[in-house]
Amino acid sequence: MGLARCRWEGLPRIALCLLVPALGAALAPPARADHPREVRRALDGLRDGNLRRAEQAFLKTAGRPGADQLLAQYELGSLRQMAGQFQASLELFRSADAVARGYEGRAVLSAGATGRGAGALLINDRVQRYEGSGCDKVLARTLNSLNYLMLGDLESARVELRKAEEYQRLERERSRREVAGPARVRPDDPAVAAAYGRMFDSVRNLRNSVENAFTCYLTGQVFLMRGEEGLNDAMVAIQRAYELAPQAPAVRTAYLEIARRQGGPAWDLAQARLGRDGAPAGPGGAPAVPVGGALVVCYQSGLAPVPEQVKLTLPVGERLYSLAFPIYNGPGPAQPPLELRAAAGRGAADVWRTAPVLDTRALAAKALQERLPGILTRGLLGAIAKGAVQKESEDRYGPVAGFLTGVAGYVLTSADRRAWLSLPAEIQVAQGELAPGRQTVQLRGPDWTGAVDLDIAPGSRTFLLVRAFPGYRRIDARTFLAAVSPPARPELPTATPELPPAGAPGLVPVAPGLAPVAPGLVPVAPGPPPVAPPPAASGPPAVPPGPTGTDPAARTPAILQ
Amino acid sequence: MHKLTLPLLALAALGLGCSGPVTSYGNAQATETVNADFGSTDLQMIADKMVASLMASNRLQPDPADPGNPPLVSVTRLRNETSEHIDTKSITDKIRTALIKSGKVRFSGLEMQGELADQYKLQGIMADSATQKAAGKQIGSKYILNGSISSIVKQTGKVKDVYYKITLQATDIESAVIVWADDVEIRKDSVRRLFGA
Repeated sequence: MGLARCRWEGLPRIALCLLVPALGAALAPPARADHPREVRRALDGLRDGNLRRAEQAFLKTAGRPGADQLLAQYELGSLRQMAGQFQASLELFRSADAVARGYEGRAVLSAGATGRGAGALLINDRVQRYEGSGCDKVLARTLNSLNYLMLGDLESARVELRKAEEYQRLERERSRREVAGPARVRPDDPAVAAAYGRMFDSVRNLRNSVENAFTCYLTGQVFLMRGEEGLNDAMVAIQRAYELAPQAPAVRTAYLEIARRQGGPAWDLAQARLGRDGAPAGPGGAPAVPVGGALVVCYQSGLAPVPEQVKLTLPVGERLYSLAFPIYNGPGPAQPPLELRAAAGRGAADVWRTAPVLDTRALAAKALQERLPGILTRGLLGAIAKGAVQKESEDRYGPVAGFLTGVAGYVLTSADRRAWLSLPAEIQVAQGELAPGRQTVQLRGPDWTGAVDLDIAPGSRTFLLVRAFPGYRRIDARTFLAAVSPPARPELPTATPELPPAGAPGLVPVAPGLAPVAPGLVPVAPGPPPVAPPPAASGPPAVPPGPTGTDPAARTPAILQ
Repeated sequence: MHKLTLPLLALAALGLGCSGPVTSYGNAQATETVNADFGSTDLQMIADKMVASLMASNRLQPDPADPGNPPLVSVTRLRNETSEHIDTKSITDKIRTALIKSGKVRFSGLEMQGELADQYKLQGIMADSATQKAAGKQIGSKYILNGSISSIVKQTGKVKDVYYKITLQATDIESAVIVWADDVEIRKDSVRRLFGA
């Protein structure tokens, strides 16, 4: 905002210069309350574990074209998944994908976009349409693949992950073309530079905001289940996951599992690579091929960060210009791992811990870093435009009008803090082998415990989807039976150092299987999955309320199968 | 002020008149180029080329056990190996329908086994014994028809290039010999317009 040249003789200019920001600060609510009403409502719902309340904030926006439609559909999609309504969730994500593809296909220069751009200069960036970042699109596809996975549709899960890989590949190519440099996007103001400097430091090791190890790891898992035909794709994906998260034991386990199945040089290369990187590559001997079933744990913990706002008033010449930028305050505390323990058998003494492979806080900060040049440019142009409007107002209607226009401009200056709030703060994974038979897996989170009964068959693969944040948690499981017996390759060792030895009882349960009709794995006939009916024409189905009791046991989520 | 009333009313009426959707019938065979995604024209092109290739090959021979009738074929869904959700059943349905119309091939209702089982059960209870149909008399297929559809997508700036390859093959179930195979390739480009609404 520009503050007009002061013509009031009795009022020193400096006083007026101080008055405007003070008035603006007085009018502006505190940082958290500064969010739009629907965001506050969603945040309150999420923090209380009340998904229905959070959902209400997005229902109207998701159902009609508008600036925030895509974001609202993303939110509803992840909320439905949180509630175990996988069918409803995938329909919302598909709808969101259609909206996003419409945006991607629009004309380079359009009247609508130009109008919104001009509006953004005079008001703020919230006028712009939320078109979803590359990070959003990859995560939406990844979450939707989990929906298909939990519904037993492996082919569609692979389609989603291929699309996620397309987005990641585009981003890799773009990154190669551009010379990234955080320093060039830092504004000159020391306060902003310091603030963003901390944020940039927290994401220095990230290549970009789009690639993440979880998507790659999940891709490896889903293609692995396709049998021999999927091994090459699985290996490419898991190697990329290993590059992004070499510290995660589950990634190493999957890497070695795929290499073992490929055999020969692939196994040697994997062993050599893990050894070179100092990772435990497994015993040098030749343990037996797994006789149990694999358990893959995807633990989504916490909630995504909410961007805050940095608002500055900078004197330039005789005017004051106000600028507002979104910012993420620090990387946030690390999420505690989930501990898993098989309740019976030789694996009972062993505890598995999940390890992080995706940090949405870091990805969000990286995405903001990538967008910052545009944000700064628009912010500066907006400040100049508002200053011009104020000057015109003052020249035409006098100093009072100019002053009021300046106040209005200051109040309107606001950072675009729209963000996908219902994402987890982190996704952690664990992987291991369980012996055949009925197994009870004990889970221990930071402030809760739970248990899952699983039926494990040889060669099966069970996915355990755990969503937890303060006030809410839910566990879902899906088992895929081996349609064909795993190939016996006793000459190739299996190395899962952090897991019980092969043959030990572990976790995995499986219902009696389906007829083997195709290579790879087939989904176990599900129990009564808690799937909501598809969205009605008037709107998506309601999400059941989250647990509201105070007794932790009462809050234990539904446990399937 | 009253001078503006009529024009404003006219504009409002025009706006209301244009606010509803406009519906019309189009030519189902017309080329569809809304975007580079898999569409109806691709489906028709694949089915036409595959049927023509299979008919021209004359590789599907009658079963020696049933020489008087065209060979019986089972068809399974195409594997979708693209990054789009494609209704591959529509592709196989269209191919199957065209082949049945040719009269040179018969198809087994493999995918209806569940419904057939229900019918056997129902007829066992409800139908006249003289016309009752029971399980165990289905004709074994001589061939199985299956395949896959894959894609490669490239995108740079405003240009998106999509390449589809659809492979179909017929396998003799008894000998496991692939007696016929063909593929159809489709390449589509789309360029974002420079100006638009």
